[in-house]
Amino acid sequence: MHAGTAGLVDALRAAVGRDACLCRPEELFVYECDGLTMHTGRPAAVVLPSDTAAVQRAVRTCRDFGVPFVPRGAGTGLSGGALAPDGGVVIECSRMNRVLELDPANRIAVVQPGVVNADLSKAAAPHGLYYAPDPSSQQACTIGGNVAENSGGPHTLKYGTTTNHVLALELVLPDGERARLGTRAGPAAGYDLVGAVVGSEGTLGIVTEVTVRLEALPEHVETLLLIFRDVVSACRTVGDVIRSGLTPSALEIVDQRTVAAIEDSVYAAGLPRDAGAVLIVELDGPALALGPQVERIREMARSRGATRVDVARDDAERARFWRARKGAFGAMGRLAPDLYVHDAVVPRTRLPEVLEAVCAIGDRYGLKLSNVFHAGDGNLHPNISFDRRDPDELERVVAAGEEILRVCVEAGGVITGEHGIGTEKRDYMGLLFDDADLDAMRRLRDAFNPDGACNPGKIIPTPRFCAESNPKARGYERVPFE
Amino acid sequence: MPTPLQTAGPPHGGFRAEALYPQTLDCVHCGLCLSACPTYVETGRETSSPRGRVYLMRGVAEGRIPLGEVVVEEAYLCLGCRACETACPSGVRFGALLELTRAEIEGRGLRRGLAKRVEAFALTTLLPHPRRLRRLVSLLGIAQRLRLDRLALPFLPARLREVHAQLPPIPSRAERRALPERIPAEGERRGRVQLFVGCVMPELFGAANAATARVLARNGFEVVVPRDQGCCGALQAHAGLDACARKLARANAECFAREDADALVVNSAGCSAAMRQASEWLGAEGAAYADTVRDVAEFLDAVGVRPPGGRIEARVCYDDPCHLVHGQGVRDAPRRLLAQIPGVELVPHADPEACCGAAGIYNLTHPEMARAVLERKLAALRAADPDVIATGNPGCLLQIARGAARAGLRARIVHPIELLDEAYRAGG
Amino acid sequence: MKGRAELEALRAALGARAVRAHTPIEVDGVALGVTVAPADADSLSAALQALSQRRLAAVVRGGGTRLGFGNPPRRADVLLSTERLTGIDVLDAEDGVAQVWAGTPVAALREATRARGWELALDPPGEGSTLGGTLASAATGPRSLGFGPPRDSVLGLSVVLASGTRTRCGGRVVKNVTGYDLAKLYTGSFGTLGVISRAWLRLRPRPERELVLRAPARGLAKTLERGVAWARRPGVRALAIVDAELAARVDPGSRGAEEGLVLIELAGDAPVVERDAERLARELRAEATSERALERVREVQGSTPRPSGMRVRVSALASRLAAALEPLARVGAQLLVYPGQGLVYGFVPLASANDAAAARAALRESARAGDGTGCIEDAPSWAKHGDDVFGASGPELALMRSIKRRFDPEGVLNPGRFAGGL
Repeated sequence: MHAGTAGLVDALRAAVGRDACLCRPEELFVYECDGLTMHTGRPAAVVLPSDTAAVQRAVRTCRDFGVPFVPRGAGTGLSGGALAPDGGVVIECSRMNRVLELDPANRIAVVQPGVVNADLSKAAAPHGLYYAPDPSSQQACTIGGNVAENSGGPHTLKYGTTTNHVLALELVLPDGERARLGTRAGPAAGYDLVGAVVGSEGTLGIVTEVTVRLEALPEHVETLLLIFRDVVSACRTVGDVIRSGLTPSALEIVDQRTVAAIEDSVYAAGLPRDAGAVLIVELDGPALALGPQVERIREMARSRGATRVDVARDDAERARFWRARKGAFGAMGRLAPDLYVHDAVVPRTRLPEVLEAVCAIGDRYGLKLSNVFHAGDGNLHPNISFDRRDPDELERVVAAGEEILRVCVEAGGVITGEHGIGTEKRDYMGLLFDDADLDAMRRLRDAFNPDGACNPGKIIPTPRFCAESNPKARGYERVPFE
Repeated sequence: MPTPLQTAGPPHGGFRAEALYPQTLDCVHCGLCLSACPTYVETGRETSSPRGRVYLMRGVAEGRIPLGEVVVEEAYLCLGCRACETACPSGVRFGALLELTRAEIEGRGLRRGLAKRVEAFALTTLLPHPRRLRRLVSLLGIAQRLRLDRLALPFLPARLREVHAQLPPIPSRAERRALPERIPAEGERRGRVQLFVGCVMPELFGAANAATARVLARNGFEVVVPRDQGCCGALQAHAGLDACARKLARANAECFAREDADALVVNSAGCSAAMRQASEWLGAEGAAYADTVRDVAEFLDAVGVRPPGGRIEARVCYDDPCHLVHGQGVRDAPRRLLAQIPGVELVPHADPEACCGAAGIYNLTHPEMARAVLERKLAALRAADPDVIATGNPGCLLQIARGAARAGLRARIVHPIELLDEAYRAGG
Repeated sequence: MKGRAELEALRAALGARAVRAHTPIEVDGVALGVTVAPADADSLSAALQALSQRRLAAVVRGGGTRLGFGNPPRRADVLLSTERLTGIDVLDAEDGVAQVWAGTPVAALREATRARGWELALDPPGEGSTLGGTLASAATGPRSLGFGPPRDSVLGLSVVLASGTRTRCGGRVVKNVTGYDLAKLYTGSFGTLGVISRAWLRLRPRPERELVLRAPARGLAKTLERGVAWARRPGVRALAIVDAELAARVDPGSRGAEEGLVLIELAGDAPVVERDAERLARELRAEATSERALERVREVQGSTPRPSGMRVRVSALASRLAAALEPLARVGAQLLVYPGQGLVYGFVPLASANDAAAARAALRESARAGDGTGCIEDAPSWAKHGDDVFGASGPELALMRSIKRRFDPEGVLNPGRFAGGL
């Protein structure tokens, strides 16, 4: 434990209030990981500020004691973005959960970072509006976390990710100062700092207020469930749809292994067990346009040998179709104590061959691997069920994970589409970027966070020579995970 | 770098480990339960979330943390509403985990204090003994009518004053009269059901029990009310008094096995949820008993009700009892029944599936949290501004009635079955 | 240029073809007579290295259409042109992505993508606009309503930093959170952090039907509310409202535009376009016109009153557009509004320094009234009068300076030209 921790806790209590500071060992124990259970760290304290000023006081206290700190939303992230540095302080934003303003005339909402994604859409619904980015964890994840990770979701194909919906941010900088980036009427003069902060995984400061753009609820929605003999035909259909100029709001594929897992579980959705792949297509827009679009997709699917094309007749059936997609996570989760939800992107045209390679890698390592993915974006999510109590299996999961990333990069892809780098993929950044590229990223980080006190050890791999020869060179870098 | 879990060995013994540990492993730590949890929403603490609590349980089972202060606090701060089970994609049975944890805590004698003593007295000395309960309620009723209770109030310790504040007005003797043992079916006979009347229900909600029996009879079912039935054991199980719970469940399983019936109908969601899990306490013996249990709304919805003749012009908010919606997955049936009453307009409110904060004697053990949770519920109900609030569980009825009175809501609070009964009676 | 010797040294380092002396071009009061035009990324890297070593400052130039946009350079020695960095390396018609060199003219790229069945989601004003210039200045036209801002089209960038270091960010895939989103930082940074050499772009599907309609406006302010409502309908790709004077330029010989003109472009599935056209005919008395009209809106947007005038842009909340128009109208500005984007363009003829001061004051007032921001897009240097043309202020400038210092410590790239003198 960090020297002087007792003093730290007292100071934090003074800064944010006794009720808003956790420090008992069992309390800290539950903060040892976020949604990625493979990586753990042990904070010295957790604070739960209720407003921006309290965040500033907490940050300044951390600075006074020279301990690193990390912002955390709901802890649903899958790359270790909210993982606490050993001996550091978790600044949990869950109590900053108010929708500060809804401005339907300008289709804008101003929220605190702890507002749950789905709650924002619920609040906007009476005005016929909603918040478009819909990560699969939207019922629990927070807008602040979404900003940190630039979260996507099944509907990003048409509506984009978080970065396309954030207009302005209030940020507590790593030195405790407050900054306002962007304006509600659009970009502020100068660099697009909002664009730089969205997706920066909490390393550039702590977001304390978010101004987002809301969208009008679509006039009409159509959902199709297509069943194919093999995943290649499903992928080719996705390619046909994209080339045809249609822009569905979602194109999701569930592979054969996942179908089997779903049908074996309590989430059985009545899918044929011999289905090689299930493709869910969702279209939204004017009712007038959707009828013909549905027919075009039906035609494309048929010509790729779809064995079944169902169009949802009502919301209940739509929900049933999506259960086939959403149940996958739970069904896979039940196969073993831990679930590793991998994340990588390849050009959409390369999906069939990459999938084949991914499955082969899983088999070679003897792992329970299946795929559920945002096919329209080329965003793969190989799910690996495993047991972290088994060190050998854990090692195989990590090795297979790396191989999958290599295959994706070789196919022209990248190593994460929506989960972020965090600690999970930090050491694979080199697969994609050379030292100069990483150095450019470091320049941006250093402009906000010069000594690395804010969420250290994330995104950018520490240059080995630097950490070894001069441990003080990067300040907080050496605290975690070296 | 990935950290393998340090304790790869067998789980720590003694912590009801065989039953509990494997179930903790169902949690993949996704966090989807967080926003469904009333205590997380209120505190924002991971520790006070379902995911955090499962993590604590697993940590104890693996010997990574002690079963100490924090785990005990969290095990009882939890309302046991099981909203997390509805949210969980991996099927973690949180309610069962919680009961095992509390049983372990009780077994080790880790919980003390006045709240604990009041709870133990109520759960083991009062509820399982209908006559004691009846006598106490009668006394309270007399005291209330003579206003003796108010005179005594200043002399009670603070905690007991709080208990007093929670007490509803005791219904008249007539309402508390026991139901006949057999009630014949009306019209064309469709079958026979047994009715579970519960321990507190006859004393405080006799009217709802009578209404349930009437509606069942009205719909062509002969209603059998076995005299020697008793408390279901749910509250004892929730409190970790598993031996007592098991004993009560066994007695009821025997009692209801004597009669042949299409179903064992229950109008108290907390009871039916626990009765349905009897096989876990009693094994095969409990399975037959558990399998016949039906919530009254679920049963009537499945068999189809005869159209009520009377009209009730009212905007009605239905509020889901946690143990009905999360414990048994019964969500639409009560709404469909209410919607069949001519004149009733079902109005949605913002938070029907959230806990109201009743949760047994939670009001007494965690008054602040209970109040905060209730406040959210009342805010949603206030915004919807209904004429009637319907909910099918005694604890919820008491809690919402108390909250509504304090908040000055104009709505009448009833069991859904009472509304249906009124409609039948108004129709002649 | 500091002198003949420097010119020769650059020529020696980069080759004679890459360094060209010419009649000086004036950039905000600084005359630049030498253009460095590298032929490829290596040569661009060498050029920046050479400039950096010699502590020479460069004004980065694409098509030269927005050279008037900026604060006067703190120092400038050469123009660094991307004119030879042209070509389309990849145009993947299956995947709808393209990799394109920065100096490629937007018009040529648009044609090439259309020929392959895709749409380039960029429509900057200005003949000869290049891809690099469009991205660096985040330039938008009327279609940004449907297209979104340029940042939405950028998937990845190759950028040469001031030191000559070649870097990449992003990639070719349409969804990507691998590391910091530097592409957002570079896009719209006016070349002050690095020189974009190549970009991966996301293309849009071509709509089945496109139709431009014109409708009479009943005064700008009165038309705004309907304009906002219509601009929010799916399938409306562009919607512009111009005042009566500009109407004559946008749709010459048009009748019924005495109080201004609304131009609407519909793009999407044929039945929807047809239905919306009918509705517009009923609601706004709209009738079909040619796509030329929309092109002329774009031309107007990129123009500045002659012989001397100021072009300003105000970004305002939809609900405050009417308020934002007033101050500009008072100083006699001609007005073009994109209500869907919350953008107002004002064109103010200038006869004197007093006119310029009044125009600048009106701009500030307009931005305030619109609860947004305002900038001077073009004006003679005397009319800028030392104000920050981007209207930058506030403590956030310190963060921006900190970024600039780290990316361009020597101040080689466009020093002084960007917001707050970055």
